Amino acid sequence: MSTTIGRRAKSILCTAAVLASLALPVRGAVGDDADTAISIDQTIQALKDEVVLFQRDAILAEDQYLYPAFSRVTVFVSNEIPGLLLKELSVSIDGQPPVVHQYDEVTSRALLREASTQRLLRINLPRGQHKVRAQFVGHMVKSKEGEDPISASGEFDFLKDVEPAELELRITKGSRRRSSPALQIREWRAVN
Amino acid sequence: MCAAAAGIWASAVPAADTYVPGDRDDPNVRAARFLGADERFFSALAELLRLQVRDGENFEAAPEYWEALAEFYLSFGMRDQAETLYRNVAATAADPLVAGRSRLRMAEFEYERGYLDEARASLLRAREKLPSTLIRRWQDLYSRVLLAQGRYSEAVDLLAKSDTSRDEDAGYLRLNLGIALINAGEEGRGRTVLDRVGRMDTRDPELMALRDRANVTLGWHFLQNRLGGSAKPVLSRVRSEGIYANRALLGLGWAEMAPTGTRQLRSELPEDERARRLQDPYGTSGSALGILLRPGFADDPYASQGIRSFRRSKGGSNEAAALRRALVYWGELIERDPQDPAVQEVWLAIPYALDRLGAHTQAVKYYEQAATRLEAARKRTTDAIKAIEGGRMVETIVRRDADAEAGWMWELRDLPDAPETYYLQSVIAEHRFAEAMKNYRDSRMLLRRIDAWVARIGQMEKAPRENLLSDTPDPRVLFDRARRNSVAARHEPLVLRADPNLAEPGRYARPGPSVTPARPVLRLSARPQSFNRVGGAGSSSGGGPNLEKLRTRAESLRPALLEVSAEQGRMLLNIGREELRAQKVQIEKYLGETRFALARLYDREVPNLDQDEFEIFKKGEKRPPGTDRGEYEILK
Repeated sequence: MSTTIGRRAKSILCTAAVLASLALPVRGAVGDDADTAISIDQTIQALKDEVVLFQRDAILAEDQYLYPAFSRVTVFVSNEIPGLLLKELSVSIDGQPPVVHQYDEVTSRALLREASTQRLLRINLPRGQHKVRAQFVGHMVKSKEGEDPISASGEFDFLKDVEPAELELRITKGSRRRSSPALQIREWRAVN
Repeated sequence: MCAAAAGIWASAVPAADTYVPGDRDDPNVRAARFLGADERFFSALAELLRLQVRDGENFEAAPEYWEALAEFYLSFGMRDQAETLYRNVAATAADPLVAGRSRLRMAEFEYERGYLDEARASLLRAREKLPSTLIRRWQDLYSRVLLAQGRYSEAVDLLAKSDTSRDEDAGYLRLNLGIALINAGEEGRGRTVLDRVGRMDTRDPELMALRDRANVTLGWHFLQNRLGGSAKPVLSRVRSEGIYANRALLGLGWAEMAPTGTRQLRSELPEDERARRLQDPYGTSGSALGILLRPGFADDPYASQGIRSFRRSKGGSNEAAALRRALVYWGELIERDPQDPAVQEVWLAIPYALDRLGAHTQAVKYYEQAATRLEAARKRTTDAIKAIEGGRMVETIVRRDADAEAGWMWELRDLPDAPETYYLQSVIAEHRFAEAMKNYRDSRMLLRRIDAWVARIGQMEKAPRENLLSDTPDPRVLFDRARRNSVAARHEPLVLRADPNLAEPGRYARPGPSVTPARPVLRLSARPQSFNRVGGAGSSSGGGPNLEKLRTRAESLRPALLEVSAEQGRMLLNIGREELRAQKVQIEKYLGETRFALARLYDREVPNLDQDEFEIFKKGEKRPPGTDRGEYEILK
């Protein structure tokens, strides 16, 4: 029976793709059922708005509490190599145990989108010199099975002052002479 | 081993680049875009809104920020918030494609959620200045809205204008046009359009399913109009394995037994007229002059275009032959899916045909088998109704993707292995179920988030912040420590004494002269009511975030989320239950017909016996002496 259901499940999903595009009447768009559906949808929309605003305020509060502005360091990562799917990225600061991020295909592809940057970590650091070490491993979309992965590492010194620091690790194609990917770093400052 | 590993080298971070908060370079905006690309729309929204608060009154974002915000609102199913933003985006977008796509997206959401009037209005507004590349999509969506509202004539007018090409995308539009034409009373044209879709040459699985759907629709339309001869060739085009196969096989059997009907003509469609004019611009076909001018081109262009008439299968010479042919088709169906109404109908159709052929004993056997199978099907349906009412199916679907923040964009990727899922496959594919499921999922996800925040707020309240930096004391940390270590106020004078090791200000080389200092009376004051306001929506009048207020907000949201989640869950349950009850009613109807047919056949099995004698014979009793035929039952 489970095999039959498994096959049927696949055909259901195929049917759904066809039926979703066809002129099937929006059933439930009939009388009271339709009104109920819309009423519930309106209520849920209103609640979503409240919860989103709550989430916003809760994050702000948590940031204030755990990561005060003068000590906050945020590390982002962006991938500027088309077709490179990340598998793993690790970042370590001042020799501390690294923060390791694993990627599935969906998340890796999300990072390839235009103007897409991932916030990797947030940490408190005192003023002064610090060292950031990062490493990534990935593979190209068109790579064949068994092909060696692509990776690169980088170590960077940066000076933390009293302003919040925003560092962006950029996975790039490197210099013209180098065809291999490279990690670069960029610091950002907000200006009002 | 690494194919291309760079050696580890240290370098200094170059001088900082600057950005204006909210512009395209703002890494926080780009982080929100990443979350959106990862379909974490809830987090993406919170991130973008956070930036507005962070930067206060000075916040001025680039158009990309507002476009992203509108997109994430709609993707998370928040139409009302998205609408205002999309209007601004559409009004200010430099690229009309951006504006057009955003309007169509909004309309699509409205259609799928059942806001049909709003969808129609949105689409009519969107039509103005719509780029040509989006016209086809607009036509498709608008036609579906019109059909959902029963405005068939308007749908026909719209779709007829769009039906100008033979590319694959047109298949869906053509099928909708065919359905609209038939519903609008233009059966001739409707049949021709459906026939075209039904003869589409394609290998794409979705389009093959579409083709089957068109043939089943057309074939059963012919059957319902007692045109069995026209139905048969159409139904024969349906693939023998596929979601429409059972319905086609059932129809083929009935087509054998239905009246053949008259030959049905196809109608000329606008593209046929154009093609005909291309081939024969001077209208010479069929005329003597035409034949002279173009020998060999004497054939009727209507026929050459395949638009003259539908094929009509000739009926059998006698009923017995037709019944036998029907049994061939129905024999394929009898062992298929026992919950499929087409298969259930065949369980009755086969003994019906056998009975008509005079094979009464066989007919009885198949009717009895049908009764057993229908009883089993009824029991399974009853069990499925109970399972639905237990909520297991919906919970299983929701649990698979519990924390996904995809909102409206969420898709059901696989189904739980449960019988009730199996019986509800057609309902699960419908918008009313799918959209209700998305809302239910979202409400449950939001509830979990609120609960998680309550726990985090509790942790923050219990553990005072510890500054990780011992050499850079944070004033707020000091306040926290002071609060934690505070002692009860003592209302007694503080005693001061001179410290002989302290020098007077300005003279640090040596202690000052020994004098008796003035002793002001000091007392500990009450704890101040407020400190300098830090700002931000989450902050209190004190130096840090107002966790108590956040907790109160979270706890007030919880009951509302629970209630709406329960209401949406009940709606899903009702949809499933209604569908299963309808299936059960159909099964019971078939069961009733089966029993009636069996009773009739049992009577027929003993044609020479009177009813009462049959009763006596069955019971093994003899008719008591002195009673006449027919009296036994009464005396008894």
